[in-house]
Amino acid sequence: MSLMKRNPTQELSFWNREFPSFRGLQSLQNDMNRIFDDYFRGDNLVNDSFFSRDWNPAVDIVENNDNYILKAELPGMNKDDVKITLENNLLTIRGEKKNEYAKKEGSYHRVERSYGSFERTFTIPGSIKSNDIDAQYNNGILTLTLPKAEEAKPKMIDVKVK
Amino acid sequence: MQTETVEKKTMQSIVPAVNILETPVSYIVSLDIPGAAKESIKANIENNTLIVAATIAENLETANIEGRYYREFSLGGDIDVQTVDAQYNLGVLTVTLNKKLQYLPKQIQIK
Repeated sequence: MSLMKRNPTQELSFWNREFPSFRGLQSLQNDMNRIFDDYFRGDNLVNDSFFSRDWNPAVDIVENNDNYILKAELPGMNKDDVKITLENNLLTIRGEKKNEYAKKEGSYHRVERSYGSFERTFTIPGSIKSNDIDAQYNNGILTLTLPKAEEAKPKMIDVKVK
Repeated sequence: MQTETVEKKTMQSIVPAVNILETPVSYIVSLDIPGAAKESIKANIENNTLIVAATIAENLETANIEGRYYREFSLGGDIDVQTVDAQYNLGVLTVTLNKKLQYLPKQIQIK
């Protein structure tokens, strides 16, 4: 029989910096405000500001025994336009996506895809091997693998049943 | 390209975000389908309907990026369905639908 030692706060600490549902509401409200502002200024909804507004790429974070794995949906981005920084235990992904058809003559029927700059910051809950972080960009998804330091890995404690 | 129907085939279908740009000679339809495997992408035109479907290759046990993409677009009569082009790059599928000859802008010479 073996017991897994777990830190109960570990699962929560990733969300210290951002609480996703609150952020969602906040950004929805910002969008609504912007739409109203644009409307009363008489601006066309499909204008430059529409393309340059900030966006929050969707992110999944999983933890297994050896790694924290973060996946961000960044479709259509140039690899060089994404910057990843680690400062203390704060991981920041920032970048800017430009409209690839901005210079093309024509009119838009639909604009749903997001453009503009983004920045997301996450608190890494445990210590990691900061020199061994791996970043891959494939099919529009950025995958960051952050290997845990030995002391952050779950320890197996054998409990002898007498 | 006037109307559009969004049909959910299964519970896990994701409706991808789309931009539709009309140029003088074509419609450029670009869809965000991050994580889609290139070989799984299907872009077909049936009965004047463009159907785009793809399966997400990323295998992660979370809800956000799992499942498949699916979206349909009804096409107008001005599109030449014989010359459709589709490109997949960096998680973005771009379908170019050319306009029929008689719908292209004409230059009228002044005599």
